[in-house]
Amino acid sequence: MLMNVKRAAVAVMLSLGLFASQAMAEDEVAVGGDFIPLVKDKPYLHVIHEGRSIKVQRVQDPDYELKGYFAKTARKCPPFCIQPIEPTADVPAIGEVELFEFMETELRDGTGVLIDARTPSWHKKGTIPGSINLPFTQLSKGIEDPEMLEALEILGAKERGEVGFFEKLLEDWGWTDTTHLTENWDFRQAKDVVVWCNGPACGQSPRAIRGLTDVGYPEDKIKYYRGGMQMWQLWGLTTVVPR
Amino acid sequence: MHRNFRTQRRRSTSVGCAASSISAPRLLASAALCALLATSAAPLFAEDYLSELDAEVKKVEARQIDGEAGTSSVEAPAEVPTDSGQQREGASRDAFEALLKQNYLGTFGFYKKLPERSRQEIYIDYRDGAPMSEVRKKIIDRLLQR
Repeated sequence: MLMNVKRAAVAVMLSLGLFASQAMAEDEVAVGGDFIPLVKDKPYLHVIHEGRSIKVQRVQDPDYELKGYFAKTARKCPPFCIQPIEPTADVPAIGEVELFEFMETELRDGTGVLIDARTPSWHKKGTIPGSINLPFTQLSKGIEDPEMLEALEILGAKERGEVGFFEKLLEDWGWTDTTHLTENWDFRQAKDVVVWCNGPACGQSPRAIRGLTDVGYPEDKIKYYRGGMQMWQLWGLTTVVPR
Repeated sequence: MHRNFRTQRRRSTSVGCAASSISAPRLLASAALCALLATSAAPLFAEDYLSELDAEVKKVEARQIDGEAGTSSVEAPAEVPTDSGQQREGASRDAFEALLKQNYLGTFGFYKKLPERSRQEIYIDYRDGAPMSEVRKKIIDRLLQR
C-alpha cells in the first residue's frame, strides 16, 4: 500500500516536472528565435507606472527606424549643446543596461526614484516608464523654496531640526557617521535617483542634478542617464504617455 | 574738455565693463552697473532657455510605432463614483485644494500632477478626517506610484 502511494507521488511529480519543462520551453519559444531582448537573457522587464504594470521591451520590427524629433542630429547650440559625460565631478553617467538594473532593483523596492527632469510639457509627450516628473525648474530652486522642500521630502531627505548637544558632540568627534548629514538636512535615508531628460544634447537633467547637489543632496546617490529619451527611443524601448 | 568727456563716455559705453582708465567714482558706478547687469542677465537667460524649450517641444510628435513595444498609453483612470451630493462635494474639494495650495504649495504642485482617480481618492481621505500629514504622505506615495 505504502509502495503504491510512493509510486503515485513519484508519477505525479514526474508529470508536473514534465509539464513545467514544457511550459518553460513554450515560454522560451515565445521570446526565442528572432526576439530582440533588452539584453542577453532578459527579454523584457516590468515597472510600475501610475499604478499600472508596464512591460518594457524593444520594438520587434526588424525594419524599424527612428523617425521624428528624436532622430534629428542637429539642434541649435546654444542652448541645446552636447553635454559632458558627467554633469558634476562626482555624479556618474549610466547607460541603458544600468538603468534596466536600477528599474529592477532600487526602483522596484522603493529605495530609488527615476526622475524625468524635463518641463511638464515635455513629460506629457511621453516618458520612460516608472519615471516621475520633477522638472529641473523645480530642482533648481533654493533650499528655502517650498517646491524644493517638497522635492527633498519626496526623495526621502529629512530636515534635522534642532540638533542636540551630545549628538552634535558625537558628530564633531567623528563618532557618528556624518557622510550624509549636513547642518540642517539628513540625507541618510535619501533615495538613489537616476535623472534624465531628452538626451546627450539636453541640459535639463544636468541642471536638475546641479540643483540637487547645490542643496546638499549626496552625489553618491545621484546618477545621470545621459542617453535620455533620444537613446531610449533609438533602441526602440517602450515609452508611456501620461494622462 | 566737453569733447573729451563725450569721447570718454562713448568709449566707456563701448567697452562695457572694462573701464580701466576711468576715475574712481565712475569706476564704482560702472562696477555697480556691471553687477546689476550680471544679476539681471541670469534670470533672463533662464527665461530664454525655457522659451527655447517650449518652442522645441512643439516639434515633438506623438511616437507611432507598429509592434508590441513603442508608446503605451496609460489608460485613463476610472472615475470614482460620488454620491448624490456631487455639487456640494465639488465645492468641498475646491476648498480642500485651496487649503492645500495656500498652506502646502509644493504638495499642491504634486497633487495637481496626479491622475484624477488619485486626486479624488485623496480628497475623500481628507473629507473622511485623515490628518493633513497623512494626506500629504499619500500624495507623495501616489506620486511615487506606491
